[in-house]
Amino acid sequence: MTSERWDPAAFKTRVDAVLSAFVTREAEEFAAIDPALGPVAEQLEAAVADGKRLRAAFCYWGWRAARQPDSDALLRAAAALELVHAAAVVHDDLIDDSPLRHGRPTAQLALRGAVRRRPRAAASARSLAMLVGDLLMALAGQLFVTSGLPGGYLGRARPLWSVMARELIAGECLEILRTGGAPDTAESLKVIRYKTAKYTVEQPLLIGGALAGAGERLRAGYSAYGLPLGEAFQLRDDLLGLFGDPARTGKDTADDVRGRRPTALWAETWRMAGEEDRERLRELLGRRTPDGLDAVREVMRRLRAPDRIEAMIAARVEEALTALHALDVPAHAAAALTALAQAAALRQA
Amino acid sequence: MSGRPVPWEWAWGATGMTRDAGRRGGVDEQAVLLVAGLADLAVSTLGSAVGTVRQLLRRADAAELAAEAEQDLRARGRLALDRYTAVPPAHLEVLARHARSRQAADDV
Repeated sequence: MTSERWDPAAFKTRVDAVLSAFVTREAEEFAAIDPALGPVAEQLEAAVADGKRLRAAFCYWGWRAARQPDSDALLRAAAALELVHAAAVVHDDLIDDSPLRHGRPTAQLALRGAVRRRPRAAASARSLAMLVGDLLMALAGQLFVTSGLPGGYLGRARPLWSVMARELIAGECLEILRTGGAPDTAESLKVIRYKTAKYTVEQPLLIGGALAGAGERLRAGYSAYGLPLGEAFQLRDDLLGLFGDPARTGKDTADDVRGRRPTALWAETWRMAGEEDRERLRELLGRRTPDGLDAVREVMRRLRAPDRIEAMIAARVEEALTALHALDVPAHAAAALTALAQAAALRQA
Repeated sequence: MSGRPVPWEWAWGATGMTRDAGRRGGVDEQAVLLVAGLADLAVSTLGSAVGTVRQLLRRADAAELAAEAEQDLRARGRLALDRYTAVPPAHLEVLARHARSRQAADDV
């Protein structure tokens, strides 16, 4: 990609190649310890097989917007953020007890085969999946420090890794702590901000910028662009989670509602609902049938909750783009970050 | 290191945020400076520095330290070359055309 035009497909191909080569080698070394580890090693590879590679892209453009060149070493460092994401996904699917991801069984479901004849097979499979997530997180650090970037560059980004880990885990914890509680849009947005927004857009941009030696103004601009965009990304995720096409999202549409997740969509629905609708929603949540889910969707549509979330997404994308336009970055970086904003917030999968 | 012309200054400058200030003269001239600077830095400065460290400290891991420093220098050199090859494609094309036309002239 020596051309300065942003080509998301070519970028994804490069990131996929880095991840596949790195994780395949790590999985082989892991399985070499004992043949029994084979199925766990397979899940390491499965965890990085798919993805939009948005986090790597934001890291890459955080670097390029600070006037640094395209670089294979930087690409490896950026790909490390996809391993953080892969780890978060495995853990998230455990927390949510999700059966599907990208249309395939999640780690805890796939690993049941490895412990089929054991007592408490399902719990053992969940434990194995947890460990797959832990190893992926460790591999992220390994890929980052062996990316081939000079030590001085990596040192500048090191403090941001602890911020990213702290915020990501805080967000996950807050989501669990607030699950099933009284729906509140402001609190839902806080969960979104920490659980997804920061590590999806803001932190990758800041890490790319820190590697590049970006100045204070540019870093402040990255946050001003990254935070609202990250929120828009997760709000879109919540909408797609319930109203998206499972064939395209690859997820089970019942996950959020069944898990009583504190999403903004749910909080807005609750806020607009009268006593009668709230009673009906309580009753529908008690059911575990597909028609119950359809009825929940129908109530949400009637209360125009999806429209309100769409408006929140649009406002955040606009805020992000305004912040971007105020930044002094090269034209190709501005164009790429504009395209990425649209890809993150207006996607269908 | 002071008092001598330091050809690698451009290379080090280019790894930071001040590369525009360092880009003077022709592109080909800068390329020569870059390669020469890195080689010079790797061979003389680093070599003697490592020798001094080894003598003074007699550290058992001196060879390892030297390898790490060399690896880091290579990483910086690679980035500097990325920067050099990515930024002025027009210049490279002019150079390539120039080389081709000269080759054609030689062939006649």
